[in-house]
Amino acid sequence: MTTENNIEQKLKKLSEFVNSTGSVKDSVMNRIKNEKPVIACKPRFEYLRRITMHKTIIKFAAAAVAIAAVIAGISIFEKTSSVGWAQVVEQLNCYTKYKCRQRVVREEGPQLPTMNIYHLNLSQRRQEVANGAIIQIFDMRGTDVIILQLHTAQKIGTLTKLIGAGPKEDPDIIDMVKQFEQKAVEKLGTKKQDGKTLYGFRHQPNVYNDFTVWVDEKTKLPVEIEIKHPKSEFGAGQTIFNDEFEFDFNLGPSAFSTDAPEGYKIETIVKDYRPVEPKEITAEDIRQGLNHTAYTVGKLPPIVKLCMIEILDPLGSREKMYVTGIVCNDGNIIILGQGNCYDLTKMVWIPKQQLVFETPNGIKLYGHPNGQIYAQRFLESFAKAKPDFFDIKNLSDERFTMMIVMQNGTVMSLSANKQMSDEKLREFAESLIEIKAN
Amino acid sequence: MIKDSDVIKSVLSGQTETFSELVERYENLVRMVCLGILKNIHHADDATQDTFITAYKNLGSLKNLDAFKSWLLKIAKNCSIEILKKQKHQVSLEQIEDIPAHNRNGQLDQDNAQLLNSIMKLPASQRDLITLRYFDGHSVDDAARITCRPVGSATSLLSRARKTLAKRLTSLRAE
Repeated sequence: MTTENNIEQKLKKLSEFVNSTGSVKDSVMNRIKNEKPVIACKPRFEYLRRITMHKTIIKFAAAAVAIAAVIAGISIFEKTSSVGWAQVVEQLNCYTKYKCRQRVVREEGPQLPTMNIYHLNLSQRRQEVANGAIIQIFDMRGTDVIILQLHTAQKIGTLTKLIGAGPKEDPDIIDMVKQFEQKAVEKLGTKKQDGKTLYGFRHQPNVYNDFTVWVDEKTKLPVEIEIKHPKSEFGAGQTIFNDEFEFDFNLGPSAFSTDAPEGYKIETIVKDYRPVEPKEITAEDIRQGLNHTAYTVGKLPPIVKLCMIEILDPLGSREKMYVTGIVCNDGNIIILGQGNCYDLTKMVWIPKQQLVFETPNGIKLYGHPNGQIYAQRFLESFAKAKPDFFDIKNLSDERFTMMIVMQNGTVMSLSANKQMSDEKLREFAESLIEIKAN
Repeated sequence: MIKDSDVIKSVLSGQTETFSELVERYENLVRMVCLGILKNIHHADDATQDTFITAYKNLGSLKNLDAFKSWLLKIAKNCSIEILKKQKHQVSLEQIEDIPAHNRNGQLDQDNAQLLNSIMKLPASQRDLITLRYFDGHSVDDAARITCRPVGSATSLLSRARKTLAKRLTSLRAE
């Protein structure tokens, strides 16, 4: 465990590293000597106003010039841009396929490999990772989405089939950029790069996305597109750099085929993404549906009504969940969630949460980092499936979720609309009984 | 201590050499921001220099002189990203999951990276004091004076910052 004393030592060690290369002050000041002295900027039109406004006749002449400039759509006080956003969109609309290099730089965590991405259309693309060591081909045109991943050196791969997940179109960066409205795009001026003049445009549709597009003056096509995702409640910040664009690349249809190439050993994975209608089930259905021990709630004095339903995981995993809803005599709603995706060997984050309590017979109850959101999702799913059981209008700010870990390692979720005392939580946990075969 | 705005006014009036006061004042903070993005001390030095040169060149356009520090840190972030873009660094698949090992090439190791990230996430008041005390080498009294705080308040903030960092690092190690 890191203590305050340890921190002092670590800070000193980091400080030595940060200071290891010495001060940049001399280098900076030497470079500044070659720069022009800086002065505060005056208001843009100050000089022109002072020169032109001292005589009435010149005042009117200046006004006439300004009006003419506005009519011509040219700013006489700013550098004239020869690339407008409408021209960029017009050029982009001439192409359906393009290739680019994509690098994602994350502010935290492991970095992602650079990819070359070939977009045939919004439903088909090919991604080459690490100079072709891994190739991924996506085909989302049909009702089943097919993803072929090949490891070219080892000649192995996986073919993933997502039944019912298509047809689907993934919005890609050029598709997003084409939809920027001219009035929402800010001009950034020009820069020179590799002998070309590039015109810059910026668009920030919301606080989560900040686009910068640099366009070739001659072709009016993007040369660089950068998307910044600042740190938010969705995670650490990152910047996505797209460059090395080729519009109309030379790859034939076979490069986008999801047929396994000869000589490869392919593992096939099939996942069912067809919609699952919620349905009322029995305890035996839960026992048969789970690949681990199933539980139900024993008879507790607070239970007024109890109902079991099968739903799709409201948290997006597309797995089936078996939820037991309980109406208590104090008006509270408790949802017990069970599913094959609840696996303690994969949910390693659970034991790191706060241990609320452990019962004498070894049942543990842990807190949940996003308990309110999860409780809302479960309650909404239940309310949608059984409106007579729970009215979502009664959703409470007290709602919470905890994770139950049984003595044998089985994991379940416990969500409730209102707070429960420790005593009631213990009663509930100790009332859970195994569903055995009839 | 002379306020940032007074130093800037002095630079803008032609006394270019006074800009060195701002370099001395914010060099380590800027380097830490750059290091957090670039993870390499040599690249961070380049970005630090670029940051101050860019700030100097655009000093005349800064409208709110009291917001110099936050403006400077934004420039630092942009300069670091520009350097990242120029690098042709490609991460091999084997490196994605590996924890980068410390090497003598100026690369930031994982322990220091976690501590640096944690420092940058502290509230600004605590972060400034940590930087003044441990990176700029000021005494607690001097750090208190620079940040216009009573010594007791500065001591308490420093202690709170150290506890927050200790807790954060313990939690990161547990993951």
